[in-house]
Amino acid sequence: MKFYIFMTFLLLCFSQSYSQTYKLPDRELKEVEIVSKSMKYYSQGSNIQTIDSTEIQFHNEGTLAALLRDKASVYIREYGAPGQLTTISMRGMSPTNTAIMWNGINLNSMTLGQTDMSTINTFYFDNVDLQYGASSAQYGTGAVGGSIILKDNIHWDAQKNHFEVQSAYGSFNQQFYGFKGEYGGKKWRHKTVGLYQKSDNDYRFYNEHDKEYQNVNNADFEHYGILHETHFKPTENQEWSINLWYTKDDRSIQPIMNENMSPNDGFTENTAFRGLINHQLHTEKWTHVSSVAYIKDKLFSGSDDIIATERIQADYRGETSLSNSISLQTGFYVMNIWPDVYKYDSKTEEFRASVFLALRFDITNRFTVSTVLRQTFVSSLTPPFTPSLDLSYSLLNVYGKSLTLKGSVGRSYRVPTMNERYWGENSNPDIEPEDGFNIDLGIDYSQDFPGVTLNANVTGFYLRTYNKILWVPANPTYAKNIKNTRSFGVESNVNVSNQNTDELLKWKAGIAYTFTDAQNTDKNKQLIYVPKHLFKAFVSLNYHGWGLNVDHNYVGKRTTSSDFHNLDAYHLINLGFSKLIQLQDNNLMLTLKVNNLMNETYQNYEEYPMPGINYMLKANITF
Amino acid sequence: MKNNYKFQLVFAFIAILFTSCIEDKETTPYVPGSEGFHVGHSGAFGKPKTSSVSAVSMSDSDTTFSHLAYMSANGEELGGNIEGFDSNGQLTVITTASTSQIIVCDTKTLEKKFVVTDSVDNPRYTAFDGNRAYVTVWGPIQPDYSYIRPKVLVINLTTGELENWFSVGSNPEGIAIKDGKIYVAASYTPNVEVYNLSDLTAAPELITIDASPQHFAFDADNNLWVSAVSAWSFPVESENIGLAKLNTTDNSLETLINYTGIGGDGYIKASTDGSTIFGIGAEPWPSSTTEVVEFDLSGKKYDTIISGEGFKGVGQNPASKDIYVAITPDYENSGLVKVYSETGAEKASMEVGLAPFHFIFY
Repeated sequence: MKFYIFMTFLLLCFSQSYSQTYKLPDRELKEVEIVSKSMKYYSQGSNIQTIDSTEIQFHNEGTLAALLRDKASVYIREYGAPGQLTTISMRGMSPTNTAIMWNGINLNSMTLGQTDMSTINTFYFDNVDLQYGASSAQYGTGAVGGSIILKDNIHWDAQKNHFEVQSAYGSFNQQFYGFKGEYGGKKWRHKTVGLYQKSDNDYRFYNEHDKEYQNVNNADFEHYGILHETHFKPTENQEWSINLWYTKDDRSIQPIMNENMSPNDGFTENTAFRGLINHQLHTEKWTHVSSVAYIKDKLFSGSDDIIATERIQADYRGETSLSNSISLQTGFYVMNIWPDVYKYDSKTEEFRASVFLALRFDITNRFTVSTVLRQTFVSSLTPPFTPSLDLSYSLLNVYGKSLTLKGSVGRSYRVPTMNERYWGENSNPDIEPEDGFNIDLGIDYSQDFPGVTLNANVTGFYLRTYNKILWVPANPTYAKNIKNTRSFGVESNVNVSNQNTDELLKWKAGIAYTFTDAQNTDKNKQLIYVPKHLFKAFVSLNYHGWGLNVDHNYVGKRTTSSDFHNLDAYHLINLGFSKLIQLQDNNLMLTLKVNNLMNETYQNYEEYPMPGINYMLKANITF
Repeated sequence: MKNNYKFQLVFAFIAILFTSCIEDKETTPYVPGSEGFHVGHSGAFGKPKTSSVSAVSMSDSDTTFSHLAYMSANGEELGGNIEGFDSNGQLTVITTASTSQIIVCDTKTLEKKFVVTDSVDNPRYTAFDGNRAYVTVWGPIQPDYSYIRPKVLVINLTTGELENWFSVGSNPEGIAIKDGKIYVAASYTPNVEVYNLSDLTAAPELITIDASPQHFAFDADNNLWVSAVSAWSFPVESENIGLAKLNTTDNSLETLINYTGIGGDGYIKASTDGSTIFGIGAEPWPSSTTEVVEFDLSGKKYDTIISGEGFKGVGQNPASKDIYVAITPDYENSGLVKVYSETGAEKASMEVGLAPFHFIFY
């Protein structure tokens, strides 16, 4: 009932918004582009990293977790082999404190509050943006340590249809088969992505409990997925689209190391469907974007204990320009969630809504300021009002040199997950949302030397969270607000390349260092599974279609729940060779990867051994 | 000079970063005292390295605290999450859940004598009879998280060999031996099962208590009491929950001290003189306050003597009569042991390992 009320409300808002008389600046509009600017435009003071299609292409037989582990200043927590439960920690925060967005949908599970990143393959996407630090004002609940925005683009200006077929085979019977196509004309355009991936993951490791080498047991997985989009432009100023994405993950549950020889054959089947209808309209004054989405997640683990949710979400964004230097975006979303969880009361239901306003003022060509204000409403809870302020000032911009000072401050929050509110006999529906704030201050420096481009940036951050929710060891267990945490640190990157030159040998190199000090405020101990030091380096060479990529990852020590046991630091080196072969109008890209070149023994989660040296051969044909 | 100043700043920054590493924490080696106690920590589920035994040793005026006492005594970790931690005064039997082991060690020195793994699947708790230990075992877990083939293992404490075993009811938890009879708490059933020591294959007599039996305790008069609880998978009328006294002559339920706050673990422990029994419970939901209650066995009532957050276990020091409470605030950080006087006044607090549960005093 609530849903229908809000759908009515939604339609009313549409009609009211469409009748407003503001105007977008001409410089922001292109004739054939009907887009409202993403929230990135209103977050110019934040540390945002974009992983482009070239980098994704190299990693596109793997998961989002593998991509971010190699390319981003984040820590990926893997429960063992690829395909097992994998979560993310940004700026020392827990996985529930990272929002993962796809077309305005937060992919985090409504029950667990986090995304298993091994279930998201990068082959579906063209770009990934990472916004470090709190962005709750921009993306809503859970965007505390950071946000990840997944993008799959449609190219209306493409001259011809584009198809891609990919296959890969590697150690432990890793297999990948994928198809991607973008096709259509000037009014209708479609994109279809389908993939199948599997691995036996029976790799060799040293079992320190049994004091012998063994093969990992019960860690195989299969992933199936299909993503389809159809876009329709009835007129130049209007676009409809439907986006459908279905994934299915079957996996055995890898046992902890000392149960490797007697696994209990546990498994899970995880299915997810996300369907979205989107409408964009450009009027003389406004750009309107509205969508309705249906999302269904289901986790089945072999018993009758089903954990599933369905949700319907509707949202609207309208954008205009108040003057040539001021942009405004405003909107709202409403969502109703129907869980089917064996540990919840059968009548459990939750409603969420949110309104926001974003404003950016380009005060001068050098100085911009933006603010985003958001208020969220949840059934019988009151999340905090969430403002953010971003500043960007260009200190220097002459002769191929630029130096920009950036800063942001924002409040953050996380609505308790449905498990935290409704699980078991001791359900706690009145548990408070987590609350907090984040401050960023950074500089970004670029310089063009003869034949070389340099970019360097450093961002310092300070992040506090209050009312942190943890599970209490009662019988039965329940969730409670019991901790406050604080995290501070530095993220830094230096990249150099000659990509903008005419040299035949193109090269790119970079280093990134992240320092994170994250603690509960009542305990002098680094938060568990949060490395203080992350160091990454890469070199990429291309010459006449030949390519060489080397990635190096250093992950520092991590604490565990035992004060006397830390996970050791480790180094990983991954190597990749590629060759692009032109076959008339088609391209064949062959890639050979050697992962964990030094055969390092390491764990990302206690008791789950990771693979040693392993190989992957990939063939990708585009036509 | 200006450049030198910048260099010093950068150098200082780098120095701060690289001196702020995560350190490996050291613990004091374990040396048994003339008296002392051990705390068993169950640790975090599926993380056997978080399970350990802490020890406090007292000799003359010296008191030492070793966080990893078992490892110190044996040069190796337990290799599993502690479930049961029982002693007959000379030997301690430690059962581990994630790696199914029954470890027999010296109660005072913690030196390992034997490790039994044959036929051991999810071992739980132990009762002693002379030279034998009787250990309840849930059996192998199934994909639907049920357990099959529950039994009791009979272990010879001289040789460390598995001498015998017999099948029992589901999820056997606590176990007690009295007058040639073995009492087994078949949890998630309403029955205490009674077996004859002289004929372990004979069908058991059943004592129906109309609640899930969990753990046993003997009072000063050698009467046998059992905790009677409700569970998610075995809901029970609140009037049947609490501490039940068993009539071991005719194998029947004699009386019940109704205490609805008792936790699903059914944790109970007799006082050192056996005049009372301590239990762990909680105030009614939504209060999150846990409590130690003291059952007045003759008056058939109970009093809350200590309240706080995260109580998981209790024991009484026979020397000082102080009450020791094991506290688990959450699953991510160290637990605490708090020491209270007999009247419930807090006297001391110490940080111990993750999820402390059981005490053994020597």
